[in-house]
Amino acid sequence: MLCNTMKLELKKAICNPYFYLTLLIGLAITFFSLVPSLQSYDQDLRSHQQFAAEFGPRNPLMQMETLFNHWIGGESFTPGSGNYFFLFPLLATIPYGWSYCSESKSGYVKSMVIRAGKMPYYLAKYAALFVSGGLAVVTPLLFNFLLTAMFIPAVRPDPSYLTAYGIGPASFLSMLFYAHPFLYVFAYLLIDFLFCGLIACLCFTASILVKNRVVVVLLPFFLLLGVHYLCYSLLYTDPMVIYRQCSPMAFLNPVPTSYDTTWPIVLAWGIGLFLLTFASIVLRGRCHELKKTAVV
Amino acid sequence: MMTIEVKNVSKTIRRQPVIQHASLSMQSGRIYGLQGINGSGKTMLMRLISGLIVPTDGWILINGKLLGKDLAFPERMGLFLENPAFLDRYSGFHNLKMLSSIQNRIGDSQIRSALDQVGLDPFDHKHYRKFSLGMKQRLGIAAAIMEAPDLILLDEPTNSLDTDGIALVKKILAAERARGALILISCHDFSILQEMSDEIFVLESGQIQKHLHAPDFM
Repeated sequence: MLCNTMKLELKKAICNPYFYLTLLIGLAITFFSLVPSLQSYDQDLRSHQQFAAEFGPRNPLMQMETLFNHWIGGESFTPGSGNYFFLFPLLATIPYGWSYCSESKSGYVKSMVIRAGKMPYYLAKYAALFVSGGLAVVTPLLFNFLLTAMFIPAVRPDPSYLTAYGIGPASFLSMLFYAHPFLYVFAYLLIDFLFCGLIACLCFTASILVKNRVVVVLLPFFLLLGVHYLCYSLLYTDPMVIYRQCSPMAFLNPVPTSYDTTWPIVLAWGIGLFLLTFASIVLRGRCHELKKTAVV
Repeated sequence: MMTIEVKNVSKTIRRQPVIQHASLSMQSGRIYGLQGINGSGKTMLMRLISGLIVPTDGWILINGKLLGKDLAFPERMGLFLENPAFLDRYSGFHNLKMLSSIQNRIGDSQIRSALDQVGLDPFDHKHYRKFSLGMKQRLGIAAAIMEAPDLILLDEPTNSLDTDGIALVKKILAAERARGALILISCHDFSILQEMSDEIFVLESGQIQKHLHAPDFM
């Protein structure tokens, strides 16, 4: 029963117009970030060629131009990159975040739980939210990475030019970036997938408290924005101190824009989000009574 | 053969008693009616029997098993409570197919037959959001009967239906009774219940005031 319910929920989550729309928005943002990125690559190549013409044919600065600092997750100079890593919580919640709120309001939940059982239904809903949120954010990133790789060679980053990559010795997963850059990209895509899945699941928790589906979809975004604002207004107050990045809106960007994060911070956020969202699923599955349905 | 025993069941929601000391017993192959004015507790009693809510006091036995403890919901139950609720962007057939895919007991032909029984075109691709109120009601009834359940709970099944629709519901319920299903319907209109039911429970302020058998109310 759980397997069938899971299949049904995944189908509902992936084959729906909101998922397609979000994917389209994500792909558009990442596609349009590619153009300025390629322009900058072209300009840099020209300047390196001039340098080579003056100082000799072998130009070590070429090492600075690589796929890993020109794809959307490796650069922070295009508007596309800035917009994408600002809007990603919304991109995670729009595809399916509204579903539980909507089904609960209409009474559709009843038809599901009497056939599947409460717990299998809620677990399937959790899985569908998780997968839809993760896919909606990571697919455009992967698309951009592959598209950028068609134009810019995947030269292995050289630590001598770390300022060109924005990933310093204290940065999160920096060893991996310089030793195995493809693994670094894969690891970050995986982390983004997991976090965006959990952010989408926050909608379920929000649905318990709020009955308006627009509010439910927006709430995780504003929650993360609030955390980001609090971090920058209350924690990072001394410009002379190098802080650790605690805001998921910043540390989920593969290239750190201000401070570096650490494993304990990432793990604490991941476990915290998982416990919060999963606890609400379990509580709903065990205790909730389906008392009333709004008239639609 | 299915039996349902509701024994001294009470339900309180936010300190308000909505069902008080309700006791009744039902068995397969019969149609039971719940009659009462709005707010008398008909829907709440159906929710209790369907397992969607648990009693504050008393117990409900389904085939001797305690509901809420031995089983979460009655097995093989068709339910139509309050408003029909389906997914807007799918057709009637597709909606039923998705629901039936959870238990995977029936195929496309049974789904089409259920749609046909309630007077809907099984091959209609019209989205649910474009359905009229009557069509939505019919689809809700089709969802309740499509899997040939042992227990059918229908809350105000004749709402929004025209006279043809009401006649169709009567015909469907008679066929389901003949198949051996236990049917519980609620309706505020006593005359409709009279025509359909074998027994009627009259509810008032959450209490069963009368229990009428077929010859008494005909």
